[in-house]
Amino acid sequence: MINFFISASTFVAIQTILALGLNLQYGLAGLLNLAYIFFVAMGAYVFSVVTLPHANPPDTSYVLGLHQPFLVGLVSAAVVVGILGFLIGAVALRNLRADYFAIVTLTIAAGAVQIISQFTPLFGGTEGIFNIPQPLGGVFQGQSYDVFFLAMCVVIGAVVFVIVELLRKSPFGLALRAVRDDQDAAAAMGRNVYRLKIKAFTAGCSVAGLGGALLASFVTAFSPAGWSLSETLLILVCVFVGGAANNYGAMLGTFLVIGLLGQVPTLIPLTSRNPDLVADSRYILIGLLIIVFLRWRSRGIIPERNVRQSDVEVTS
Amino acid sequence: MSETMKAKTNGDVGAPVFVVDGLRRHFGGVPAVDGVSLSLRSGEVLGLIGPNGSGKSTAISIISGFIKADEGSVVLDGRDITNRRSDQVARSGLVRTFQIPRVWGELTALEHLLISGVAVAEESLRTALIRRRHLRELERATARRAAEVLDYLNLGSLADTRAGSLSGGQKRLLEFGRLMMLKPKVILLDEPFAGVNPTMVQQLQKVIDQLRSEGVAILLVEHNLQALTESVDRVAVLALGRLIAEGDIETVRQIPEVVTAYLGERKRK
Amino acid sequence: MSTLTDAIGYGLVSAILIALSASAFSLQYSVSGVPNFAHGDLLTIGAYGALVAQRMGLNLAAGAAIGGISGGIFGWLMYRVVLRTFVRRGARLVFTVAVTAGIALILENSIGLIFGNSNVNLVVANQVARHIGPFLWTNTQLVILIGGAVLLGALYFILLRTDFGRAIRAISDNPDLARASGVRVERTVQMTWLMCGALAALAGVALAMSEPNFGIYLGSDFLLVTFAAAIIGGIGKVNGAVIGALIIGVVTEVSGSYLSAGFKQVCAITILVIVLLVRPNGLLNIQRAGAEA
Repeated sequence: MINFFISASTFVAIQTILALGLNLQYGLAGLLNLAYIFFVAMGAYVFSVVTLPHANPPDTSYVLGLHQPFLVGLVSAAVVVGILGFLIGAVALRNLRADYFAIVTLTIAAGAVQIISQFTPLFGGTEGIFNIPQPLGGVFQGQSYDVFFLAMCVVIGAVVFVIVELLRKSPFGLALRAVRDDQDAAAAMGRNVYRLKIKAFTAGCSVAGLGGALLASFVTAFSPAGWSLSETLLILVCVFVGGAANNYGAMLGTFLVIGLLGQVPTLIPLTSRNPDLVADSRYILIGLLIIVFLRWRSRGIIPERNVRQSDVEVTS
Repeated sequence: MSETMKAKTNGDVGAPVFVVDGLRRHFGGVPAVDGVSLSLRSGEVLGLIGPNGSGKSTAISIISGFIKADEGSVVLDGRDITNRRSDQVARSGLVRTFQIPRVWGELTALEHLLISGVAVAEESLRTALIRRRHLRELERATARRAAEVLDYLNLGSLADTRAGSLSGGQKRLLEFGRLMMLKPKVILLDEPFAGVNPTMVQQLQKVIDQLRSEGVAILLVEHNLQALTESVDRVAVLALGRLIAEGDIETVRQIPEVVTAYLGERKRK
Repeated sequence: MSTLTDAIGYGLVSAILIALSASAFSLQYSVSGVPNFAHGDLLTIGAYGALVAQRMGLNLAAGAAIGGISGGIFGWLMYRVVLRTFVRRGARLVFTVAVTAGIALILENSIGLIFGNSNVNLVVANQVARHIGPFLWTNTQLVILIGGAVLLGALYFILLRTDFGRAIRAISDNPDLARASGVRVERTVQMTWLMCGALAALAGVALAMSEPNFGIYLGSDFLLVTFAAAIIGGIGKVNGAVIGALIIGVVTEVSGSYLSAGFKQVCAITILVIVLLVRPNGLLNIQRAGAEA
């Protein structure tokens, strides 16, 4: 029971990081990135091939295998996925319409799944990558290792939270929200919509890469089966439920959706015996949540926080 | 910002700050704007009038960089800004409003002014993450001005209201507030008085006069000639994409072509 | 015969499937402004509709009819029950997109709950390949080609020659003007969703016939090529969708037969990226005048 609690909490912590990255893109910049899970996956892959030793075909096959320490893997994941996000964003944002962006990102992500599945030498094809390293395995053992890993994820999550909060409160964040609400008006006030969107997209992808690296290290195996559109929607619904453009909301949403909805049913004996049934009905519920929240409570449980007069009260 | 203002007020009053020459744009063979030339001096208000479909809005969109011109040039303060991107045009000192007020729905009135009062260069990741003290000072200064402008516009009590829930007239005032924060050299107003109640019109008028006295050149697009009488120095009349008359309002009103253009309009309605 | 002509032949078959799917998507989009991310599931519904019919002992033609009807009904329901409120409210585009994605989740997993998550297949009569001109096609492929061409022809007839089609074109051009000139906008939009749902579902039946087996992701996996074709042609344009489908269909099959099957998707993506870089609005998009008073 306690083991379950620790691993569930770790999972929620990692998902929170992912939700924060997506919130930066969707909540602040209004970018509906349906390829978000693709960037998470790329983070996982980059982390894996940077930290794992050389591949040993035919048992395992993947590029690089640099056998670097954990932190190097983490940073490379964030950086490489950020760059990848920049490149894809530069193409996908060529047309600045929101629906175009969603369609193009989804198409690119779907294509990427196929490509990575087909080309085994890249990241192990459909089989994926196994034995992904975990940090400091020699220092902690057993349950204390799990606690350590959870603590590490929480600390990294806290750092990410501080960064995205600073971004949200800054002139950059304010400009992004303006672009989100009416990009023509933002352009008419001198804002370079394309650049602002690319910046937000890149930053969000970088967070996705970081979260993906943690995810890979947590579950120690990664394959294309784990990242479909449904997974992106799962993270997105956390943002919808909690409150878009509000980082506290994203945290709350992740706790409610992933923590309660996602983890608790596996504890109930009846449902845990029918994994298919649980998975299917969970996704149906998530679909319903999206519709219900966007229809009746589109600002989420904790709505966007505006700069109020009392925040900037001038004593003069 | 104060330097540019000084340049405006002390500058040569005779030389135009803004010149549009031979602007042309066709849509699928149909000319929407067909050789429009205009010029504006600092502190001058030029009314651009014309019936619906005469190309006024298209002209504004071309000048402000939202639609590309086929031919012609736009020069602001000696710099050629023809066919620049809309945000570049705005940063070079020419700002437009829209026919239907365009505000950022989820942002408060105060936030609208905060954005407009902060230089685009400050919207960087570096400012956000590293230059925290600089940012605080910047925010304090901007907030002070924003509060002043809100009071000037009688929007002080609505500072914390989301713009999406403001009335049409209040949204228009807020647009004007953004202009006051930004202090551009040239402003293009696309039918600012349309659908606004008379008291609000007076308030908008007050802002226009204020901006004009600060040396801003204003192009005011209207389709109702009457609405312009008080606010403009000169008017130019557009019909079917061409300028058919230009001069002071009384002279223009006498020109037969103007009368037909408007009578044609009335008949269609 | 030569690999090239064979590959082009296959390419035409997949092009017609993509064209059906992409034109249905584009048409729905052009009348209601909703990019339907649950579009793929309309194909899936068609395939499972045909499957049910077949399990009840009906033949494939009846199966296709039942598949098409169920797709039409679901397409209409999607719009009428869920999407219409968002469209009417003028909700942000990202909301509508996310809602259709939510609908996709619901539909896929409901199908999974009912039919199970393992793959199924349609029983298709024995596959005889024969040469027609330079091309080599199986019976099934021929049926798909002819049936698809007939459907596309019917679609063009409706669009160009009927009042309903004129109404559709008027609405996609300018909904307000259409309403002002007496077009029954709401009814036309609903009918379009019905028609496009049926069209997509028929494409789904054909797709299921051409696959050895399929599962609940049959249609959503096909979204990649559908979207690619629609984007290349310029979203919302039926002509564009057909041209995009031809390009994607033929190029992917030809490249797939010369290189490896895995290159199909790489090619589709490459074409898409090039088009986006050169003409971000698609090949057939011409800039229209801004909103004029």
